[in-house]
Amino acid sequence: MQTVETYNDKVVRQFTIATVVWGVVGMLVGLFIAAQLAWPALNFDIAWLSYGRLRPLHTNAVIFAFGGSGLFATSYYVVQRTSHVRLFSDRLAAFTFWGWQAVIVAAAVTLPMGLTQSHEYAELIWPIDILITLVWVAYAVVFFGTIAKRRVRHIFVANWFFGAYILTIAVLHIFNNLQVPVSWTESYPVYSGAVDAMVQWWYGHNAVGFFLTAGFLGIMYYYVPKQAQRPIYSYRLSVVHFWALISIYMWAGPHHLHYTALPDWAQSLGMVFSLILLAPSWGGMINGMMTLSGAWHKLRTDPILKFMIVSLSFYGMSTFEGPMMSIKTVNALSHYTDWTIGHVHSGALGWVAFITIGAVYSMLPKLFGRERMHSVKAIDAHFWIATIGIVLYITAMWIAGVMQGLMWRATNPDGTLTYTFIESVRQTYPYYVTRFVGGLMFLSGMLIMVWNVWKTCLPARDLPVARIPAPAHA
Amino acid sequence: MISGIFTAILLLAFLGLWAWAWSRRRQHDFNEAANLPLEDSSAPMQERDA
Repeated sequence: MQTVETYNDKVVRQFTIATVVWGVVGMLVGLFIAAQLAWPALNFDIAWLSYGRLRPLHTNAVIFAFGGSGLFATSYYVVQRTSHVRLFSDRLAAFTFWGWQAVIVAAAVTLPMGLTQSHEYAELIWPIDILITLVWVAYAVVFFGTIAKRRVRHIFVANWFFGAYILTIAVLHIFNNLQVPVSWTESYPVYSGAVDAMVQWWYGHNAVGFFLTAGFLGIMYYYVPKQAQRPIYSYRLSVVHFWALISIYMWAGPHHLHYTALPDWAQSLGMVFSLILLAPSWGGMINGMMTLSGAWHKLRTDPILKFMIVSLSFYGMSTFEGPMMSIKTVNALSHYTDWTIGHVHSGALGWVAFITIGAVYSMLPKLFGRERMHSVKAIDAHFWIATIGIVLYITAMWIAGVMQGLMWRATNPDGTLTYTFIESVRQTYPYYVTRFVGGLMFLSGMLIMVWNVWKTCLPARDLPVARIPAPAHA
Repeated sequence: MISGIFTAILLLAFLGLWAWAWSRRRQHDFNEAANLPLEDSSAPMQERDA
């Protein structure tokens, strides 16, 4: 008797639940440090509650714990279903889950203790970096192993995006974390000075480009057509989109180092590549949006589609704003101000979190054997409260950022500065409070999601087993 | 000189990519691929590759 082949959905379920849990945790830390900026007394004079230690905890938690778990879940779900095979190895897949959770817990312990490498988004100390490397290699083996044994000849475009993200993150992580350890918790980077800065932002910007963009575009290319029940607007465009995006993103990093010790030509090069990036970014955004062409009415009734389409709108907005901010003269005003924070969150909350939330709402019921989420109305409520939260957040940061930039550059006729730094801080307080309210709304939406997920999963006694479609000519 | 040649090669590669993606020979495979997300994993279906 032939046994029926099934998909490995256990690891997908685990990562999906982890996505929701770490989303709440990471955003709660974010909300707390936003409150600290508005009301500084909230650090209670306790070192491990101080802003400097909790800020990297927030960024690591939302990017790598929330976003990372979401990418693991969706890439495993998509690669199986578009390749018609089970994951390459159940054991290695389980290792990626438990290994990744161990990394997250280790980060949550070490960062508040003040143990850091002092590289933005690469703060984790070297023993944790080694664990990340091991998990990532296992991830690559599982993902590309599954691709290698696929039964569908063509590799679906979402898998190209997932593959590029896995491969690039491996390279970035290894080269930006080349350190000489001097103890279990301390190490020194092999690079120094401007070279260290250049490597750091080659890493930093491609963490945005490949972790927070290519991976989530993989989600977009599967879940938007799935939810809309229509094929992608142009598959041909998606192929050009992929190659153009990954070739250009790699060179945009120097825009983080305008007017620094980095050679001027490298700064200009980074700016030009950032401007060119607008084309593939918008090509992809339009491709996703136009998938709904002729079926826009679905937006009225399906809040999951609302999440996805609004996420693409925010993607379009922030990939327009990004190139503008990379122009040196604009950057002279925007850099080091809260405008940057506004830009990042329009991408992170609007694009990354929204497409992830949409994908989770879309696949979670199927993973737990339910027709749909427990409450569709709650999804709608989540959507609106989160959207208003983002708008409050980013407008507050835009105003604060432009104001700070203008105050810092203002000079008197005799050449002295018009304002002291602390005056710009005092003027920013109302916007910090507004940002806190926006963040509170976004987190409230996540709590609605937790309730909805709980009610959807709880009654599931027998977890469904998804069968792999049988080959026609077997 | 070398950078100019390199730029020209990259430009040609990019144009070649467009031509490849829009060529009629790719159309059938791309249509099939585009429909992959629409499959329902609970229903029986046809295998794409024979």
